[in-house]
Amino acid sequence: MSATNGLPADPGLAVERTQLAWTRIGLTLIGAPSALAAYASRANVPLAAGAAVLALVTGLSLLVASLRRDRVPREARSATSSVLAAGQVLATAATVLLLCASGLLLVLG
Amino acid sequence: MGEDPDPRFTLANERTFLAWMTSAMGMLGVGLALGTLLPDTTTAMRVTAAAWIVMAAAVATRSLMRWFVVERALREGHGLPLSRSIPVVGIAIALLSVSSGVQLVLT
Repeated sequence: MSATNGLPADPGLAVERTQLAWTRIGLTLIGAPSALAAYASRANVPLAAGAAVLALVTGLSLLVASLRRDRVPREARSATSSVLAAGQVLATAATVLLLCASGLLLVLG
Repeated sequence: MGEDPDPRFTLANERTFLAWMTSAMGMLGVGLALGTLLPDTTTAMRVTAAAWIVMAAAVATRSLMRWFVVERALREGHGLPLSRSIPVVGIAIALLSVSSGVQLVLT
């Protein structure tokens, strides 16, 4: 599934669209944990605040990783990009799950 | 594992995952709004808010698993597995929305 008509597939603008999507989620995963951590600390729910701060750290590292990934040379992308992508995917899911844990502690605590 | 897939397809897989994550963040936001921003939150409202957040976590987990399944299918040249998440999530959102709306109106 790597080529059409024997020619190398040109991803075109798909790389930029994907990069923008990662940047968007990275910014969201910085803003949301920040707001949640601030609210949780004012509501005096330290566990929720801690989970939100942890989510903020993973969100920041995700944004940095997505910006660095764009710098991988084009000829190396197929080899390294899937590893980087898997790391970003796992970091994103972990951040969202941490936010959900923080939210549950706030709502039920 | 397998062959390097067409970059267009693997990038589309990533964007699909991110779209599910955005949806999960939206559900989380609804749950937090219902559970923390309303004055005089009833127990039923807290339970509904928690249900929204649990659904957000389920969507995030499911989309993570889906990303790996689709990536493997792309690398091994298999057909993409059918996603059962869409109708389930759609029905869950409809039910929770009705429940939340009824409780908001009644309180």
